[in-house]
Amino acid sequence: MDAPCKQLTMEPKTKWPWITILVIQMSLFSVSCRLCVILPEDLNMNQMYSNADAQNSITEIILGGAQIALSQHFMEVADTYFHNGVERFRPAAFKNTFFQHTLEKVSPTTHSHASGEQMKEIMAWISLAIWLNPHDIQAYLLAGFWLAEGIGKIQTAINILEQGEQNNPYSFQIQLELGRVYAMQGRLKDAEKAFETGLRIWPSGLSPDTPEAKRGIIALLVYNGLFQEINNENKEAVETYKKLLALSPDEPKVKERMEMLAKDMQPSVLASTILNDNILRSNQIIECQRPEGKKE
Amino acid sequence: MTQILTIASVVWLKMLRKKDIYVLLILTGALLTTLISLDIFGLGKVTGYIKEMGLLMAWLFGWILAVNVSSREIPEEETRGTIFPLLAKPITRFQFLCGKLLGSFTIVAVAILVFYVLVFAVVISRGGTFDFKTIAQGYALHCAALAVLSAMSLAFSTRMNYDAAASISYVLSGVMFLLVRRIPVFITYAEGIRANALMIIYNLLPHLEIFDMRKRIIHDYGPLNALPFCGILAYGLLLSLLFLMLAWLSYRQKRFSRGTML
Repeated sequence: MDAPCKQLTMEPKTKWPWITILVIQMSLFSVSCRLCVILPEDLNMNQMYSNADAQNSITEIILGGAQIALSQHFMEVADTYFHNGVERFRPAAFKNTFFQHTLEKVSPTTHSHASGEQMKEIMAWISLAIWLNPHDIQAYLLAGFWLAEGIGKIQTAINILEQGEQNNPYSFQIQLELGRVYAMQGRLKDAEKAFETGLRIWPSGLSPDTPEAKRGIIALLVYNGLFQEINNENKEAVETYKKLLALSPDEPKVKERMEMLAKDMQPSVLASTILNDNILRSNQIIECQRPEGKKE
Repeated sequence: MTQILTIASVVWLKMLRKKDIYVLLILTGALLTTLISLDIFGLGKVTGYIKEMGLLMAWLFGWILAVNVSSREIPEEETRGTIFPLLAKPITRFQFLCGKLLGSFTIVAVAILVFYVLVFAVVISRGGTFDFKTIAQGYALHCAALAVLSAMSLAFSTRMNYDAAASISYVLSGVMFLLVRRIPVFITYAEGIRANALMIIYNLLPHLEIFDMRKRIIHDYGPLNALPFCGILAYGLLLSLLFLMLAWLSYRQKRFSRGTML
């Protein structure tokens, strides 16, 4: 007689988890309805929706620190998309098992780089990475670079870089890329301003000796010098080139140019021509670490 | 065969009554709706991320369904006591297990077919394209992987209750999906006992990574050659049979005591 009694008591017990979930859900809903009142001023809901920095707070509340990891993951996925599905190379202790051979046949190994319409697919992942972590400078730089040069959407690149500037006001990298894209669109005054800002805020928290910081200051000084030449501020341009040569003495063309400007002579190649050539060359260094793929 | 089909149909009826599939379908639908509402810099026809997320959901929900459905069938029969009238009928324990496996596997296969259709309908509505042969192969290999998971969960459930069988199946299948394929990389950083332990895991556990054709589908690499495709299917079939045999060995002599089951 014991067994059926036990069985009878099993039925109502199974409802408790659902009731608990319902109660938790109702409590969470009531709390979320009152978030505007409970949260401090800087986390107010209206502000959350009004600017990107606060928008980050929503994802931060939901995901916590995981949002950074997730954002990094999306950047890795973007990288995999750029290599048409071929994952980053990782050294393995052994390579000749049956399963590894089979996996090579199943997964793409033909190594190529995305181009044209395929570039749009990368943007989706970068967009998600930015949404999760608006302080990921590399994501803005890549988005700006690929939008302007891969897809040819210069205005969209400017929009995303300006959003990056809002979220990271002290990043010289974003100013440098923004200046370059402004110049591509012919907005030379805005470009000049961006390069000047970049120079003022350099090294933006980085150590001045890092390769990234060094590359950045050299590019900023070159652009600044060229704009000073265009504005007929030759003395200022000479000073800028002196700073540049102090940082990177192995630049014979810059040295020659500086000497001509110091003597009030016009260099053989116009500053505007060099600028036009240079804005098409990004400061981004993209290294491909994938091994050569096997053609199927 | 009739007995096996009858038991499989009972599994189906129970599943439809419990409505698990509907919940997962609604979740997939909600996620896909969120994804298609995203504006990717106003670039228009971008579908790769929908395929990627949609197929990830299909794998994730397929995994949850396969483990849950397969590992709860036998413990439920035992807890409710319905195992007694069932085994009193002219049915062997092997047929009983086959019926349960067939029922759970077909539920999962149909559920992921619906997921695939949903994902590809959304992608096509956004202007994306597919190679049908590659998708068919991807679906077949996905089903093979889920058959292995279903058989494994069923094998555990022959000697454990639902919670224990499901938990151990989740942990083991998680290791199979996430760890096993990365072991050759991990071994480069490991030494001694750790390296040996990793090698044992690598050789002992099933390699579910070879069933995953998502990258091929998403990046339009076209269908697999017939030989590796059939080889992987055969590997899946063998693994499923192995787990079914283990389930049978574990269940054929099992004694039921009414009091201890409740």
